[in-house]
Amino acid sequence: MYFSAEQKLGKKWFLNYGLRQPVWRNNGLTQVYFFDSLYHVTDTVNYGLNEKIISFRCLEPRLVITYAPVTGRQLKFSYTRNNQFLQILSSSISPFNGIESWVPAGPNIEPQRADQVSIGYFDRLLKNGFLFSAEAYYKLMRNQLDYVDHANLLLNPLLEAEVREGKINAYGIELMARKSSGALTGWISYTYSRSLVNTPELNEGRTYPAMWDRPHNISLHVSWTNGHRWKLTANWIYLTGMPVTTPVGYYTYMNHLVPVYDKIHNDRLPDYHRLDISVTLALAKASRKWQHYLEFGIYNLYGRHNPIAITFNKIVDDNGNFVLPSDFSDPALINPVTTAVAGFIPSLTYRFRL
Amino acid sequence: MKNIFLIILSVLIFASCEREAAWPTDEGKLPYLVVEAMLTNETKNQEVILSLPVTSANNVPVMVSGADVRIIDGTTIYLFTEDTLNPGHYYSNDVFAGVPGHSYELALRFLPGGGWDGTDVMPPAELFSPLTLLLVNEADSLYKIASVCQNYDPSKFAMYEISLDWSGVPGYDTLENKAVLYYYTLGSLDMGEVLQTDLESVTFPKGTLIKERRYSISGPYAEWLREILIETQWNNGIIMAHPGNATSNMTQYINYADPDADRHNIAGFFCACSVVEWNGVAQ
Repeated sequence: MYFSAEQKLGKKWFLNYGLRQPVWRNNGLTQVYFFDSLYHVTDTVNYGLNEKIISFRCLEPRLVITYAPVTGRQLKFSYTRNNQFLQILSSSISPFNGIESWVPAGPNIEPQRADQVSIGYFDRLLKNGFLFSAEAYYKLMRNQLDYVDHANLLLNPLLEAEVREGKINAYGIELMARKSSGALTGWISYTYSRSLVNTPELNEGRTYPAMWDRPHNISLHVSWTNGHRWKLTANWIYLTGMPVTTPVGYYTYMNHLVPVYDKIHNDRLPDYHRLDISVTLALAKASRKWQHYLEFGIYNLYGRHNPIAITFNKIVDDNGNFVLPSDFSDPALINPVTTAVAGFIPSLTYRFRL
Repeated sequence: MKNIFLIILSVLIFASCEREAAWPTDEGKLPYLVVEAMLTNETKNQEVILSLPVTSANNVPVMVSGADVRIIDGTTIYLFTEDTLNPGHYYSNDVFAGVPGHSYELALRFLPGGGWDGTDVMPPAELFSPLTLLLVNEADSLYKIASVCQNYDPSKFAMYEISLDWSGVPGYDTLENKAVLYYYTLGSLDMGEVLQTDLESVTFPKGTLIKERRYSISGPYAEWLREILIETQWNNGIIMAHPGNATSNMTQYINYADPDADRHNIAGFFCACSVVEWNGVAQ
């Protein structure tokens, strides 16, 4: 069910509000496991075809108040609530691989709920062709899933025992200036944002940064065209390093060097930054209907080693490569090793448009 | 779908770049003790090793002396004494063998920390088919292990320890000439295990002495091994499981210094395993 309304209050105030009620219902045919406080199975219930397992009804209010003293200048306040009934679980913490499965809300997993308030200022009048915006937000997310240590997520029928529910506090401010006219266009943006997780059954109840908690984010885009066939662009991005869990010590067991951890995401990978450039040549005149382009680009111009992971278990083999040890006749000499997936990459692209 | 996944994974692995990093170890809480104890069904002086964790990789651990160590089988108690020439290594005063089906308790006392205990049930021994070899270099007659555990049964948890010794082969008496490899049947399935890459290659010459030992292990010990393998051999930087501390079966039952204080965690495991051994020569 959905209800929405727009109202104009005088000449400068605008109101947009609504209410939505999603309904979620899980039906059989399936088997549902129930767990005790230690996540041991206490009961197994078989549900027949189309038999109701559980249902959820949630209210999702939303409100946007806009104050526009003149055209091109706005101050906006908004509040929204959203629910999500499917959660994704991944068998790997790497952002590039792993087998992911969507898990529906059910007797063991509550629907995710997010409440967000934001206030923003948008101004097109500071200078002709320029836009400036600033926005601050706070978001509280409940029933967020995180994984137990060494979660067993592959072909595991008791998947729900491998996750724990918590909440995330996210907040931040986003600033952006954009120039959209003339031969030289572009934008620069800066975002300060935090995402802090508290899952009572993990990390001894201590709050820890989410995997995507990267407080500083700067983005710069510049584009220049001679008005005819040539276009040059450059993008530079900077992000605070990704949180990682690194050892606070080690111990030896059967000559394996086993790491010891204390807090979740106690550390961060090095900051991420990269410059990409490209030159585009339009091969047809602008008046032609058939347009085609040749583009030469370089990804990561200065070849920054931007790690996506760090490991504490590799040795150097006879060929100088980092490998995982196989021979445990003696304790192996371990090296911390960072892994990056893309260095300096040139590219040549041909594009056409009908 | 599987092919696409493997192609993407191959691109990631081959396009990836690894560098050694100077990474100082963060400060944090460490386990109080580390236990390495494997009781077997072999008649011998059984061994328990006690050490301390280290704050930096590759540091030599300090061994723990002066502990009271005993293994309890019902009403029978086996006392252990520290080897004075080899600190931290404790051996049973009497020669004895574990009996499959029995539940054994390892009890430790170490002042001022307190007392810890842990139990494990010894599974029965299982006969097995020996490993097979692959000739990888005909000119030098070098072999590597082709396969282990021919009669795979995921319900029977096992660890295979393969000791290789080619010190007696002419021409190899001054080089690295020994290796110990481990293989596992743990009844679990992990991405890092399935797509294990970047493993150290171990080859050995014709005439190498091979000793293969199959340890029948309990379910809790299989879970412990899975957890330390996720942290060691199943994490190549591309496929990464959620990290964490392996959960020991040793728990503290008393803290002598302060009975009301929090219990000290201990790392390591006490396991009871039945062993079957096969010996052969690479040829």
